[in-house]
Amino acid sequence: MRCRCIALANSKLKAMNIKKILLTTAVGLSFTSCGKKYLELTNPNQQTTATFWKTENDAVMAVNAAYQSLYYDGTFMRFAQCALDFRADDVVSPSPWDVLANTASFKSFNNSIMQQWLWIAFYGGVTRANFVLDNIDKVPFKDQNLYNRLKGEALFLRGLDYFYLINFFNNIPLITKFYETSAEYFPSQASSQDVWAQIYQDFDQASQLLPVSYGAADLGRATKGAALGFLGKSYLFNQKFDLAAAKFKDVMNLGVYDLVPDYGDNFTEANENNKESLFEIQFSRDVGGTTLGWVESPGSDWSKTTARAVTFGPAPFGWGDAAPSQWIVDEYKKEKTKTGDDDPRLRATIYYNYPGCKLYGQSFQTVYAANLNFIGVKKYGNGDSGRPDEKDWRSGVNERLMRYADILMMYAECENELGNTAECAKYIQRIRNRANLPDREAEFAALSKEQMRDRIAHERALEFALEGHRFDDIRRWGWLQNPTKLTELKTHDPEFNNYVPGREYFSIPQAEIDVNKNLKQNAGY
Amino acid sequence: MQVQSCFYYSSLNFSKGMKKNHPPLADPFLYTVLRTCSTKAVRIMKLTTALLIIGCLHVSAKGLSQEEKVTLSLKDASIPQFFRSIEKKTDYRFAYSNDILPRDFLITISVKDSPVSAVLRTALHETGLKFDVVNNEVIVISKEISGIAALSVSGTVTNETGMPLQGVSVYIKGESSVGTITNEKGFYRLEVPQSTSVLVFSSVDMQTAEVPVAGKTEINVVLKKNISEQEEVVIIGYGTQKKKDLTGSISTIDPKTLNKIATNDPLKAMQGQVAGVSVTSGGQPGAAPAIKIRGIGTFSNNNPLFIIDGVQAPVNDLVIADIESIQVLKDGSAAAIYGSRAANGVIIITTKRGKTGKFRLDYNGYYGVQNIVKRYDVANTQQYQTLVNEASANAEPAQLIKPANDPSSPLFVKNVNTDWQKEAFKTGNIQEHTIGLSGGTDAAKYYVSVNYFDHTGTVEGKGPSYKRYSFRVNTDFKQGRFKFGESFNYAKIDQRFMTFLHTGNILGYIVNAIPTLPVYDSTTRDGYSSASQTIHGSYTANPIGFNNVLDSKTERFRFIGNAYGEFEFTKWLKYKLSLGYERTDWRDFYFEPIHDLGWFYINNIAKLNDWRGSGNTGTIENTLSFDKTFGRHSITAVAGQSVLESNLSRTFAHAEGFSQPYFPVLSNGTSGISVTGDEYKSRLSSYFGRVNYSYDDRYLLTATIRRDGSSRFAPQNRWGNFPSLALGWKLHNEHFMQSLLPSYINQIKLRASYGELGNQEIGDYQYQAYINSYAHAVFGNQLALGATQTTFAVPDIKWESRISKNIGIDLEFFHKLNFSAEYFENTGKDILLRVQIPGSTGVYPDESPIVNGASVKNTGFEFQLGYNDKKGSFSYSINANVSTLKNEVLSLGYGNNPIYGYGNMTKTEVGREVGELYGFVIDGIFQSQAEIDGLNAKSPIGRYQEALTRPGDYRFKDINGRDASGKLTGQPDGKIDDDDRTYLGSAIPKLYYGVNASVSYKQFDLSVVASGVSGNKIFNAIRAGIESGAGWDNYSTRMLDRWTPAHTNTNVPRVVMYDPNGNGRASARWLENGSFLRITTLQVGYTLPQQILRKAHLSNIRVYATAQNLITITKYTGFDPDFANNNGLFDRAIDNGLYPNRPFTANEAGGLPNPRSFLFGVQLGL
Repeated sequence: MRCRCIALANSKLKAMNIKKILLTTAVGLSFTSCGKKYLELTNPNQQTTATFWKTENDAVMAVNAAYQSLYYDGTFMRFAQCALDFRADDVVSPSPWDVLANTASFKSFNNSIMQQWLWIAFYGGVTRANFVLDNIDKVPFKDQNLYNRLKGEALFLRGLDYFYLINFFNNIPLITKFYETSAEYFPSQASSQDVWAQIYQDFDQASQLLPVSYGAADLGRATKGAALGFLGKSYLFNQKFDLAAAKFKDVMNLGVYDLVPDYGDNFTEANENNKESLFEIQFSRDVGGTTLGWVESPGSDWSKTTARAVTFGPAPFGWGDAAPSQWIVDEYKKEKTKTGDDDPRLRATIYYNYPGCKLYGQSFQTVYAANLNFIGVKKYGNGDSGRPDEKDWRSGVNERLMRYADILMMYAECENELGNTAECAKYIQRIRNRANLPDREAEFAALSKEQMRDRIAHERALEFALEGHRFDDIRRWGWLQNPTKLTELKTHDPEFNNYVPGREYFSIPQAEIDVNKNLKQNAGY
Repeated sequence: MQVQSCFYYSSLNFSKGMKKNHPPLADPFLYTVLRTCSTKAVRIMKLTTALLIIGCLHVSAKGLSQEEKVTLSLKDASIPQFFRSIEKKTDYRFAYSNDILPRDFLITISVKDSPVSAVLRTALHETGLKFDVVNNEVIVISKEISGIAALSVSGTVTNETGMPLQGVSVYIKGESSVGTITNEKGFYRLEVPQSTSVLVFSSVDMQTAEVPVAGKTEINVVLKKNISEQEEVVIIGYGTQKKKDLTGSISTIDPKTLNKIATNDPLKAMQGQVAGVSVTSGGQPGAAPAIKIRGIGTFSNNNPLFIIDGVQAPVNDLVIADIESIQVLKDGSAAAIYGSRAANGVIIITTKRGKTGKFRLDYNGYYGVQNIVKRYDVANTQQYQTLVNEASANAEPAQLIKPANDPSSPLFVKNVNTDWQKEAFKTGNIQEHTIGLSGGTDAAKYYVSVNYFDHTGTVEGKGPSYKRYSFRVNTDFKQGRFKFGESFNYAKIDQRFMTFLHTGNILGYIVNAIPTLPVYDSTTRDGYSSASQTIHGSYTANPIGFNNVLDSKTERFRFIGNAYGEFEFTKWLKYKLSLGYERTDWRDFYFEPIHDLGWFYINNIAKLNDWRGSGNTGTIENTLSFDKTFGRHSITAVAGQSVLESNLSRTFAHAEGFSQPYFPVLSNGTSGISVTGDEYKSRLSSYFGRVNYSYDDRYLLTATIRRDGSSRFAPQNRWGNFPSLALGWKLHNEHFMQSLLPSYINQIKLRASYGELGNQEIGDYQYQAYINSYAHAVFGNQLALGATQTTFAVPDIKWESRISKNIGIDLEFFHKLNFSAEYFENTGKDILLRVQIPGSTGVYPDESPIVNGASVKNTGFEFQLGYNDKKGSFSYSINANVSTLKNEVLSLGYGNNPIYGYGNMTKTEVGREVGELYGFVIDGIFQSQAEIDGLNAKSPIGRYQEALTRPGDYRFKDINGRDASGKLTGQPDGKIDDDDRTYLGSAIPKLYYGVNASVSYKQFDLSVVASGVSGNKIFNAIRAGIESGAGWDNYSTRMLDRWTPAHTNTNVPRVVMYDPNGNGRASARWLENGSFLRITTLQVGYTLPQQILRKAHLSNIRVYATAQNLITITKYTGFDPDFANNNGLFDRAIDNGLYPNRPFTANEAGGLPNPRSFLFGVQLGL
């Protein structure tokens, strides 16, 4: 049928020699077009979905891809840390880039890329986890342990993505299956209880499926301890102290975690995946390409590094988009160690003027001679690594999302809320001991629940400064609704002067509302 | 030459084939003629002209010399009616002048099976008319000359090459009723009175000749081709058509106009030349303009299909001097033969070919200088420091004043005052030289050309620049009925780009660079100064430094070739095989050495990108064409089959860690080495046919169908049919119009067309969902391979179609004035677009699925006027065009969500135009805190605008709110939020126009080309950068008029760091009137007189001087109201200095405004 015109031409042209020659050429050249297969071209670059989900390796790769969603600019390449840290009172943002400065001071406009990139990147993780959970049963597994582990990892990652999403945005759609039709692209927001219920369920199931530990080749995958820890943290964020405490206890009972002796080991490229670490994002300068992970599908040359160091790092070594607040420095200095020194956690967290302070191979006093009061972010930087600065954007320092110290502190907090002040004091002192701070356990055990809350707030601020926990704490403790506390925060960090009720959560990205009519904007925007 | 106006060739409803089926009846005369002749009011001929025989007369002669017979019964018929009756029943046609017919003469006749000559003799007996049968087919009616002794003159009429000319009318000067026409051998015989002094030989295509008789009996005449009146032939897809027989909407561009404009890209030269075609472009070397035919009709690629010598090929490196013709196929009928690729229109370009005749050598060269004329008025050092310090002080909390701006600091900058625009913009050069050789015999013809084009940009530094070396060979051979030939073009292009961070907007950075920074600083690593984070606080990235330190260039090789063979079976049937191949090989090179250009701009490791690729498109086309006239039926038809395959293969290599001295080749990289690559293939299989039918040169019909199968769609949606139909009516050839039509109207043609076109311009393999296999993670410090689905495919995507309707009228007056008017309505359906889906899917906006979602309608009027005349040695011509455009989005897919563009500044919504400007409305400036507090008190959330809104900030207008269910109410709600945005203006000009005028007097010539648009708004993004009143970069001098408590009578808001009120948000503040009129070309030329040329053994020398972009009349305050930005669709109105049509994968930054140029050139012919 499709070759009719040639056939027609053929019959007409029979007579002449020259025509024959021509025609043979023409028909010969065009002949391929007549085959049905001529228009059947398959993508030589990528496998189609139709041939995926056949082998165990397909499942492994799909799970790995769910981890990869944590390497995006909108996740932990940069913005997630900025979003978590900048709004707190231990961090200010002197960034000339309004996206960052406005994030720190609650002035973000609805259409800022901060919200948009967070939203897409974390939801990208949800989608990838759902892709695994909806399809993994298609694969005939020989190794049931592998199946359990992979399913557990996907559940854990989905829970983790939702954990961050709900803490950033509060009113979010809850999507628990992979997309089949375009109608599913436009969800409404779920109630926050429903989202939290899903988070509990995902972490809980994950904790039952995941192994306690991995061999060297799989170091960094989600573990049972990580799932239990985040489940406990999720309960804690919803004031379910008894449930939370039980999960923290479960973590402790695993017997594989402990505090590392040197606090600073938690924030460097050396000593990654140590015994204090429950879950960390595995960054590396050694593998992958050099292209940073921005806002598109990943490419084969994408880097596996984070830009946190260059963003937070002090100028002229980094951009200095973040700086510690003076308040947090003062807070550290309230108490000296048993030997009368500054809290070692201060020196691991912040560059400031103390004898022998060096950064990026240079003396602090030399670099900041014009302004010796300068304070800069050290934590998660590469200032001791021998590199001259952070300006190639690529840091290989793993982002520790949960440390055992946090398990202990959260457990302590639960115990206080449950009325076991003494138990609480014990755990607080355990954290202080590593910092070589004086033993005040007995003194703390005598505090009222209310007084203990303030003590916990102080101790958490010091232990976790610039690790992205402080603002979550401020919010869940209700300080922003508490006029006294809010005033206090404003003295810690004048950026709180611009706080508007509701802005403890980000706006739903305007671009998202623009394309999904089922969404409503958050209060405060 | 008012020859043709009053004569025409009579004919009517007549079908030759059918008639033959009626055998003649037996009996001869039944009746004789009853003649009623009322008056013999003899018509006195005022005419000075004679019979016009129209081109379609030359029908092949009948084999039989036997006279036809006719059966006829008429009562009181006029003479024309009588003729028509005979025409209906026989193959004869009549040629006559209306004016010689006795008008009131009526014929009543009834004959049966009588020889036509006998019938005529009888009927015309008393009319004084005589008749001659020419070619056994045409009966020429002329007036009897009585009483004077006759002289029989005969001879042959030929053209310049000696070919006999058929259908030339021959008549006595001053007595046009006496005449005849030549036969197929060019022979004529005419009885003329002895007194006859001059014979006139006239034909449509030829120059009229007058020859004194002077008693000769044999007069042989050679007629020259009529240049001004020659029948213009237009290239249509797979064939040609006479311009006056066109039914579709096709515009042609005079290559002479193109040659007046110095550019690497023919599209640039088309700007303003064609009604309905918009060309926007920047001024940087190698710029590829954005072109749209009849508006934005689709959301993917709006570029038309380019066919160069029959090959689908990119146009932007084509040598203008090589171009023979450009035709723009605008409507569905014209473009339908290209089916699935034609939705955005088709531009057919043919290049020059050799002509029979002597060897010719032509040199054409010019050299010129260019400058960017316009400047933004920015603050000087002292003004800048005042503004930036005030903005710091206004911030809450107040920002520390940077040392460079702090008079009390030792680092205070006092003695530097850099004008960055002055430093960065320099004089550019442009030159082009072309040598063309051509000639040949009927058996072999050739055209060979070499071209060199060199354009350096107007910015200080390594780029941009564009160099082209091009070589072309076009040949044609003919042997008997066999023809073959080829056109090969090979070009090498070296292009350098402006370099900047990533692919940033360098123009914006030039404008907002701080004046407190010198350009050069010998103490720095690279010799360029740099802003310091701690001292200046400004983002200023030394643009001159960047453009000198970084190195970005591309080298490409382009081959466009076509080879064809054609065999003529008979005069009317030809077969043609055409092979086309286009191939581009490129190498993009980007080297970033170790550099220190300040805080944000430090690179500690030298990096190299070496990206190479190759793309090609091959086509094989088989066509059979048919061209025959049967009596009054003229049929041209083409049927064909073709296949097309496109391939693209790319390799991206990257290496780092180069040591100095640099040898930037991949092998010298020591780290970060990666190589990636991909490849794509697509195919198209097509069948097509077209019939052009013309009846009696009055009724025209074009019917086209194309069927395309594309590999880009799933099997069930693979094939698409694209039909079209067009009708034309040449009213001026209607008999009844003869008496109605004033003599100065030479042509009235009405035409209408309907067509369906397709578009498949989406990427390859889009209907298949695929697995992204690069989503790797890291475990145990090793790469863990990852794979997942990151995008969604829509498996049922299919052809996008466009319904195109067009009506038009073509008029010609005085043989000098041409006028066309058209109305079109194009409706795109099932438009393929990326409908942005919510980010909650995890899909990034640029990777949203492509669906057949949208529908867009474009309507418009187009007018084109041409006039040319000559008076002695003074000749002049003017061509003008005007078109209107109305764009309406009918649907947008997936629940018709609007599409927001650049910075939420544009919005595309159903019922409105594509890319309309959108934002807040400014309602004044807050003068006091009380005013703000008052509004806050009334707000449902206790806040009218932003938390830190202060006096001196803009008050935006509250125009909308939502009810409890979240629906927009259209009523103010006491607070400003995104719901209060509204439409602020159109991105699409309402009116496009262009004028091209030239005059010449003796050796001098002068021409002017001007074009413009009106009715659109432009978002001046660069101005927004320097007037936002926030930040440490430089400010516009307009900010000196900012609001301060002491200066409240102003419309410029206060300056404040971080702009907490969003004074710089998308609002009407940034929009400017985009209308402009630009004299794009003003050229003065002088052609050397023949005497001098003869001495120099040259046939032609012309020297000329050109000014380009001399004057631009506009209210727009940006660099250039004629710009083309990144995508030109949703963000057409955004002037942010970014570049359209990025070549290949090139790493380049921004675009430049169109410069003002002065050129001097020489055209020389041997």
